[in-house]
Amino acid sequence: MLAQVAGRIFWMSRYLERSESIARIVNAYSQLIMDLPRGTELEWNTILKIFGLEEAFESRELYLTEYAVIQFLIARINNSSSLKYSVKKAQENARISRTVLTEEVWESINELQIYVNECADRSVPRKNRYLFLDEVVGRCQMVNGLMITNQCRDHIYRFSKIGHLIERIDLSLRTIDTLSHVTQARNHQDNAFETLIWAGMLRSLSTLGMYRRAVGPMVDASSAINFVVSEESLPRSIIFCLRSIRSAISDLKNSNRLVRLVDTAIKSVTKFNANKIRSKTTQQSIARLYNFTQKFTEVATKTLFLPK
Amino acid sequence: MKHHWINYKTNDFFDELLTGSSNPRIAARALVKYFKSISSEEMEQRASAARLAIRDMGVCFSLTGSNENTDRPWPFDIIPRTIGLDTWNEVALGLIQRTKALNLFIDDVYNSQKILSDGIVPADAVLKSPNFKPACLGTSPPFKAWANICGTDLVRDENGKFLVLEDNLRIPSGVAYMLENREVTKRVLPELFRNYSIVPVDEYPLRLYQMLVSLSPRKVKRPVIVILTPGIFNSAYFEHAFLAESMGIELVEGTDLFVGKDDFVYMHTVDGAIKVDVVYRRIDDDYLDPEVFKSDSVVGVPGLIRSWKAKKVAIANSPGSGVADDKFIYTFVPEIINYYLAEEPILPSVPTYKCSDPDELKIVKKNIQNLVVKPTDGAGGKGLLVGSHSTSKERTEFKRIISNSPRRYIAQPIIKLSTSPTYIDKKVRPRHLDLRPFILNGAKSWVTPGGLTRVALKEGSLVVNSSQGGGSKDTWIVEEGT
Repeated sequence: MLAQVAGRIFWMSRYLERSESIARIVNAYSQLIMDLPRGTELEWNTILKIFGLEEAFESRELYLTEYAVIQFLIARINNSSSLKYSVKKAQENARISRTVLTEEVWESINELQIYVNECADRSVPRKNRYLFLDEVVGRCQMVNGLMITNQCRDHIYRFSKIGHLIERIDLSLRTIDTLSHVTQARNHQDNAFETLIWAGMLRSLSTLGMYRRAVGPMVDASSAINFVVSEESLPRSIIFCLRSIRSAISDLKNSNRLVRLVDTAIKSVTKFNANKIRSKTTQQSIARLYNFTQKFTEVATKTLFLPK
Repeated sequence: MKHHWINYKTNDFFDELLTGSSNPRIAARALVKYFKSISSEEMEQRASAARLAIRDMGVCFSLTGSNENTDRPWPFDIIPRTIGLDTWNEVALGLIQRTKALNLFIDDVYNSQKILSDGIVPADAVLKSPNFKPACLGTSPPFKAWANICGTDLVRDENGKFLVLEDNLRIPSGVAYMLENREVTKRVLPELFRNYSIVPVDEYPLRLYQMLVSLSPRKVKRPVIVILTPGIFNSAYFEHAFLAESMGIELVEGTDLFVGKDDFVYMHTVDGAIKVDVVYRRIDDDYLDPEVFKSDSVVGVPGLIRSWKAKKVAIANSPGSGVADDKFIYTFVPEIINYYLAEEPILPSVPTYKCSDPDELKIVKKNIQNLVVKPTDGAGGKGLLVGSHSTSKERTEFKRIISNSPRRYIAQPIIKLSTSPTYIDKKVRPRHLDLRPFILNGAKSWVTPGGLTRVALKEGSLVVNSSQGGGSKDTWIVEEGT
């Protein structure tokens, strides 16, 4: 497989995963806002923090209103972390790699982009928003499903998978990090608030039901975080993603540096304990993981995606 | 609402589907019957279904000269154009004859230059042409097939006779649209295929692949073949991707390839460097190899020509093939066919005046309002003058231009291009069209059944290029009597 094409597939998949995550998180957040009792409202900038967009938003928008934030997140093409932008980048990468994609995958991504382009603007108000975001998640899932059921387990599959996993780790981390700061800033006794927040996070990962069966119906911060970081059987957990990356790259030539990076990350996750979320070591391991997703992309670009 | 198919007049042009007395031609009978029988609502539904299919399939073309993503949906007319199989077979023979002779001409020009020393074609005209590439002298590709993929533009005159309008021997495009047009028609008008025996077009990628394999210097079962594209901003990128996908080969850009110290061509892959046997390049000669041609080319591959001349890689079409599709050389094609094959041309060319000939230049200037004046090195319908559609100011200006550089211009009578029923603004109206079949030349020769029909969507217009408001139609080669 051409080195440059491998890179495009990697990015196509990252952007698809990002699109799906934005849709999931915005949806979960919108629901959460409605559930929170008066007096405990969350600021709309919390969701901006998850995507690291607080500054970008402030430099362009006047008021921190629900409408402005949601529009910024889903319908702004000039915001490089918006849903519309991510879908556009996924489609562009797919378009220049369409020779290696199955026709269904290409058509689904192309249709996704057409759909988002046509519907994002009018889906900012609450009444249209949920349906739209659900549809986006569904369409992204369809692409994933097509890859899983139809694609040979070749380089194309491998790099697509790695792209999804890296992006998934990145956004899970951001969510955990942002939300734990938010809950810490509150009154420590506010259990109802904490439960709503973390249940919301689990819901955004389609994980709430599994959490209840595995851990129990009470949602508290450390159990929820531990579940999403360290649950070996959960495909969206960080440890699961890391192990999947590890197995995907083990068949590659030229992947020694990447293997070392992943192994170090796995080691630090196995030591992770959310009960001590405020401790220095836990904060350090979160920082290390952030660092990992960036470093991984850098090294993969240098050693695999760029022609020498 | 009035029916979409009323008052259709063929005027004094040859109509592809109807005779002068407005009866359907044999090959078009079931087709015309069908489109006349459906309601206007149904017609409109089919047309929008086609638009939707084109959008979802991502069939697009882009306008060149811009770094923006300027993709436009492919303009497609749902009423196919039909040609009888017997008529077509004769045309196909003519195309094979013509491209075979042109290939022998190119091979001669870059080797012994006999046709020049025999004075059949003026040596000056060939050797001073910008399309003549001295870097290619002394080389001969496999089977002497230089132009492996040709797209010859055909038109039909008022008697329905096929004429060759121009030969495209460099990097002709449009074949993917021919294939996609058929796909769209199958999705939108499935029932029509039951009443017809239509020659399928979809074997083209396979034929192309086999032809490319036949060029490989390494005789292995599956040589490594790539399509070299200038990149996503090229107007034909869609086609490059489409063909690579259909043949299961890599679509590469210049930066994906390099020439090794051993003069072989390699591509960068995630598993390391892999040797490449055949490059189907969709980059102009001038940008192909900065070591030999334009040194500032960023889309080419340094050393590619070296590798090609050492016969370590095959390139289709061979560099330098453009020397034979110059519109000035076009005027000599009947003589070229005669010279190399000792045969009479099966397909006539459009009568052409060379402005370089003082007598002919006089005729051109005198009759300019009845002629089309074309630059010899132009493409895409640009820089030409259609006499009958010009102002007197434009004509005066053109007379001055051609007197100043006569070698750069030829002139042809305005052909009464054939028309075909075309669905425009909810009515079926006659529109002019041409046809670009694709001819493959390698170990064997092969012609697409039909080709890409391009149609001028504006009333009375003769310009069919998609960059200038042209559309296209599916082209059916039909076994008559079915």
